[in-house]
Order: sequence, then C-alpha cells, then structure tokens
Amino acid sequence: MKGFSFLSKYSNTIHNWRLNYSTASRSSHYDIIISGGGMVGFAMACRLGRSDCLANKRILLLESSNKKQLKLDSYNLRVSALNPGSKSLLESLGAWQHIEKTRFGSVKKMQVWDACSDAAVTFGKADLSEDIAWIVENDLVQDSLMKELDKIEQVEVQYKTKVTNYRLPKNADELVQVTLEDGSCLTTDLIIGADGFNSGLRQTIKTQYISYDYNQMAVVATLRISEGDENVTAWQRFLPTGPIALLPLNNEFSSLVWSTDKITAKSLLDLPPDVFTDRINQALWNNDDRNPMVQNVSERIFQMLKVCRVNSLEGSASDIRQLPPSVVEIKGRQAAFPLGLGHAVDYISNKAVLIGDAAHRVHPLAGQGVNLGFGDVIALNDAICEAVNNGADHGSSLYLKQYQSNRQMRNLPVMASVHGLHLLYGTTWTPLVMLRSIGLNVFDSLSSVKSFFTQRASV
Amino acid sequence: MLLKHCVTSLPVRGLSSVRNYSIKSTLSENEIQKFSKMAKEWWDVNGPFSGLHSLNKLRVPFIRNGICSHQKSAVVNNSPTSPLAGCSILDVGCGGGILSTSLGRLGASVTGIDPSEENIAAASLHANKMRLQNVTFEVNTIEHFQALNTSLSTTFDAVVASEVIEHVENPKFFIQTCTELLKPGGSLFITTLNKTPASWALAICGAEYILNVVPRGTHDWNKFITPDELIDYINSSGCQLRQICGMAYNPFMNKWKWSRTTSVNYAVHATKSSQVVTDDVIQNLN
Repeated sequence: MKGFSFLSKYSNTIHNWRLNYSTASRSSHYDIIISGGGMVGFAMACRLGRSDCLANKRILLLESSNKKQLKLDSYNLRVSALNPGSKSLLESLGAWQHIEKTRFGSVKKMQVWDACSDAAVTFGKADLSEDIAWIVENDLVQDSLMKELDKIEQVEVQYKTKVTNYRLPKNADELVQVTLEDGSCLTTDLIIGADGFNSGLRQTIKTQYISYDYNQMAVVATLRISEGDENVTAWQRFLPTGPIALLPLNNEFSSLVWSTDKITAKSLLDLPPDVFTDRINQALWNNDDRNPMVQNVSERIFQMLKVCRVNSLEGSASDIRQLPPSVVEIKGRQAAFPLGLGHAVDYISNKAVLIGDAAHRVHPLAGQGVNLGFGDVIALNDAICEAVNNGADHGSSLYLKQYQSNRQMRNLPVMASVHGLHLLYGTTWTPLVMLRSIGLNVFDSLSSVKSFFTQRASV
Repeated sequence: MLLKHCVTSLPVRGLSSVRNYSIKSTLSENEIQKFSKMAKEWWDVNGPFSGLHSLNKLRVPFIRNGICSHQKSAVVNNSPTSPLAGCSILDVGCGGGILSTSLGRLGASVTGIDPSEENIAAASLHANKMRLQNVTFEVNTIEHFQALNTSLSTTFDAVVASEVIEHVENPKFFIQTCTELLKPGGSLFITTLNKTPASWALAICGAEYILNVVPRGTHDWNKFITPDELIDYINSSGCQLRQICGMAYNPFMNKWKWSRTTSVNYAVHATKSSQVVTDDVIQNLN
C-alpha cells in the first residue's frame, strides 16, 4: 500500500500537536538564541554564523545594554591576557585584524615571584623572540567581534533587550520559551547562556553552583612605567594579601591588576594619584614580607639548581632574573571589580547550555578567565556542528553532553589549580612559604615541565 | 541490537505476513495516546532506545560519506547544509525512524518501512512534529514493498538495513530483495552483529543478562551473520563490497566507536553493479 494514511483520520489531533510545537510565528522563532553580548557571547555568535553547516539556521543574540561605542582616547581599564588558542579563534573569526590595526600589548616574557622570598619563575624565551600572550582591552575585543558579526546576515543582534524569564522544555518535542522585558515571547531550539557570572539561564537550570567569595577585589588602572627597553614582560608578584600584576600595553604604559582584600582595595580607590603610585611601587619593590629563613634556604637551592642545570634548555628566560619596572604615574583614575570563584556542576539542561563566566568564574591571577570562555565557544560550536552533520537536532542533548564533559575535563583542573595557587600564596605561614618557594624554584628550573604547563594553558 | 518493540513486531508478525493497512474506524483516543507514549519512548535519547540514538554518530556519517564519495551524481545539487540533497534512500526496518529522520535532515528523500504499525505511527508522529516533508513512512515488509515498487519501477539511490538482518529468517533473500530496489551503482548499507564467541559474550550475556541494557530474547545468536557470509550474499546479489568496519559499544557511557575488529558489531557498504544487464546482452553472451 502506497503512502501511510493512518494519520489522516486524526488530522485534527495532528493539527493541534503542530500548533503546540510551532506556536510562534516565523518571526519570533529562532533556531539558536544566545543570551548575553560580552566577548564570549559575540564570539559564539560569530563562530556559529561562520560555520557552513549552520548556514540555514536563524541565530539571535540578545544583549541587555546599548550598543557600545569604542573609545580609544585612553586605555580602557578592563583588559585580558589572551593565550595563543584565543588569538587563533579571533583570527579565524576575522576579528584579530581589527585588534592588530588598533592596539595591543605583546607579552614575550612572564616573571612571577613571591614577596616572602626571592623565589621566582619565568616563562618565555631569553631572546624574547616569541609571543606567549597578548594584552587586549576587553572593549576592543568586543568591538572587533561586533564588526565581524555585522557582516553575517543570518545572525541578528537585539540590543537593549533584557530577558526576564526562560522556560525550558520538559521533553525533546517542546521548544525553549524566552520572555523579554516588553512582555514578548521568543521560542528557540537551543538557548546558549553567555550572560556572565550572575547568569539568569544558570539560575533557571537550577544546577548546583559551587561558589566561593574571595572577599577580594581587583584594582585596575593604566600606568606609565619607567621601562627603558621594550615593554614586553608581564610581571606578577604574590603578596600575602594577593597578587599584583603589570601587563604590558605598549612601551610606555602597562595595565595594573592588583587583587587584594576588600578593605585595602577600597582604600586604594580613594587614594590621590601620587600616593597610589607610591603604593604600587612599594608593593612591587618592598621586601618587608621577606621571611629570612625561607630566603636563606631557597637561595641555596637556587644556586644548587643553577649548578646542576636540571633539565634546563639553552636560551630559557629563567637564566636572567630581571627587575620589574617602577611606576611613574597613573593615567586617569583607578577602578575595582569583585573577585570570586564559581563553577556550575551542570553546564547543560534540556536545549540549554552555559558558556563563559555563566558556567565558570575564576581568579584573574593566572589570566585564564576569558581564555576558558573562548575554549567553550570552540567546543560548543564543534558539538553543534557534529550534531547537525549527523542529522541530529542542533539542541540534541547527546551532543550537549559531549560539550559538557569535554569542557569540564579541561576547566576543572585549571580552576582547581588557580584556586590552589590563591590559597597557597595567601599565607605567610613559614612551612608553606618554604614549600612554595622551593617548589617554585624547582619548577622554574624544569624547562620541560614548564613548557608542558604553558602549552596546556595555551589552548 | 534492535530493542523490545522490534522484537515484538518482527518475530511475532513475521516478515512473510502481509500488512495491508487500512484506516480502522475503531481506533480510539486511547490508541493515539498509546502511540504518543511509544513515540516518546523511541524519541527519548536517554530512554530505552538510547543505544540506537548514539549509534547515529557512527552510521549517519558512514552512510553520508559512502554516498557522497561513491555516488556523486546522486547528490549533485547538495550543499553544506544539505549534503544528501537529491538522494533517495530506503530505510528497511526503520523502527521509530531514528535513522530515517537523521538522513532526512541531511536533505535525502527517505522512505522508511517497518512491519510494525506502532513503530510507523511513532515515526510518522515525530516526523510531522519536526515538519520533515521529505521523510515518509509505510507499514510494510521488504518483499511486499519490493513487489509493489517493481511494478512502478521505483528504485533508490541507497538502501539501508541497520540492526535488521540479524532478525530475518532468510538473509540471502533479504539482501537480494534490497538489491533489486537499488538503482544501478546504488549503495547498500548494513549494520549488524557477527557470529563469534565475543558477540555471544558481549551482546547476549553482557547486554541482555548482566547489564540489562537490551531486553532478554532480543537477539538469537544463531541468526548472527559473519562478515564472510554477508559478503557472500552481497556478491551473489550483484553487489560489490566497498567498505567494512568494526564497531564497539561502551554501555556504561552509551558510546559507540569504530573498531579494528569486526568480532561483535560491524558496518558494511556495498554498491550495485552499474552496468544494467538487459535481455539483449544476455542473449548475445549466450
């Protein structure tokens, strides 16, 4: 018998099912909706929009604030240290060319040292021949991605659009419903939450969220430094109150990221520029926190390691211990933002997925934050493309699960390490100071181990 | 590895019975609800058919790549969003349409046949909900479908029989019938289980009795087919083997992967001879 007429008798019922499934008119239904227009949200939209297999999908990005106009008269205070994986992503999206034409800082060397001893670790080549990270203002990254997104027709962006409610489906037949502030309702087959650490979508998913308030803030500012040569070194000194970092923007300026307890942070915010500059220089140069016993022991071990040349490669930057620059003055005003640790136990739910800070929030001491988010973007795009190429629905939980396990395997060890470093360096207790100082010196001398960690942090 | 619904439909009803389906006036709202529930089970990726859903990760690319590389003319108008556009596929023993729907999403015109009306109802309901116009389903057996289509001269670019041949009474005849529905140069795709001690240990003991991921009695080890036997049936029906790959299933993670060994599950791609042999040619040869 040709054709299947079983359903013809029940056409009314079928019609009702169809209505329930496709309640929304064509104009309010999107195949994929991304909630949140930060760096990670825009990168996700660009990446999806550039995937050939998704060329027939309607994609929408919802951003609650107005379209930002990039201001370049002075350096923007929020910057990120992009690793090679993130730079590759931005290159593949066509966004890196805008950054390159505008401005960015190159990091060819990183020196990390302890205020309680002289122990230090350096990364990078002694001849400064290779870039290991790039310092770019967050607003510039976002603007570059926005420029590229404008070229992709199938992706729509709605600014000044706030989501007030998400309704996730109970089974695979239903759609996600997204309610906006103006009362209108959109539907989609997949909602991607790139809405930051206070994610509304994560709250809807009701996943267990492991969070830890560091009771710290990061004080940020743009500083004029006294560097005579090229400014291509990133400096980070672990003080007992938290790490202070100087990230190179160009030969004249560096960006300050000083993580410290809330009380100290608030007092730093109130300081006039010259006093603030003095305090930064003290934090970089002052030896009051030095533990003499630890200093003695770790110096001997340092000499011993130099003699043994344990696993050291020729031309490694750790052969030369440089002194950090001193700060001449601050340009503009300083600002601060709160710090915390956060990790969602589930990154996914029915037709819903979290990326970036919505899924995980990390201390800036290792410069990993946005890099983990960009890693999420690549992994989620790969999972969605694999689903579509296998004829599955792009919101299929089989593939979202794959994304979740890939990223948790990658993100959790990084977050645990960063948190561990924060705890380890947050104490002046001699045994721990001794341990970390010796450990750091040994780690610094093992080039192959260092390369392994640098590689892992770079993708 | 077909699961319980196929077991109740295939051996009980048998491939030899005719399923001429007509609209029954006694079908009630209860029946509709029953089919809806069954459809939900088929289409719950974490439900009783989760193994078949995850098997799509192997068999869909296998079919897609096989057609795109060996039958370029069938997919001449394809695109990255519809890699199988222009291709006609017959899915034999389609069950609830898990494979048919995926192939339809890639742009192929898919006809799914299954002797079970519950399965076809579930498949059709889902395809309607997904608004897939290019996928249709029929309650039918392969031999009756073939008889019907011979008179209409309908043939397909590809015929797929995934996790089916291990349940049929006469596999040689089954392959022959499938081949007759193929266009010259068309592709035949089979996934099935090998007849080895390993398959007895894993697919029968392990899956059905220890882990209970497959209902007991689903498979009869004596009906499993070795690759050599299958290749023999394929050759005698006028097809040529193109590719054979082993597959391995991890029931704890519900993951399939390609395997170097065909000792448990395997997939086969064969193509029908592209030379159409006419009566004139046979006479001349004689």
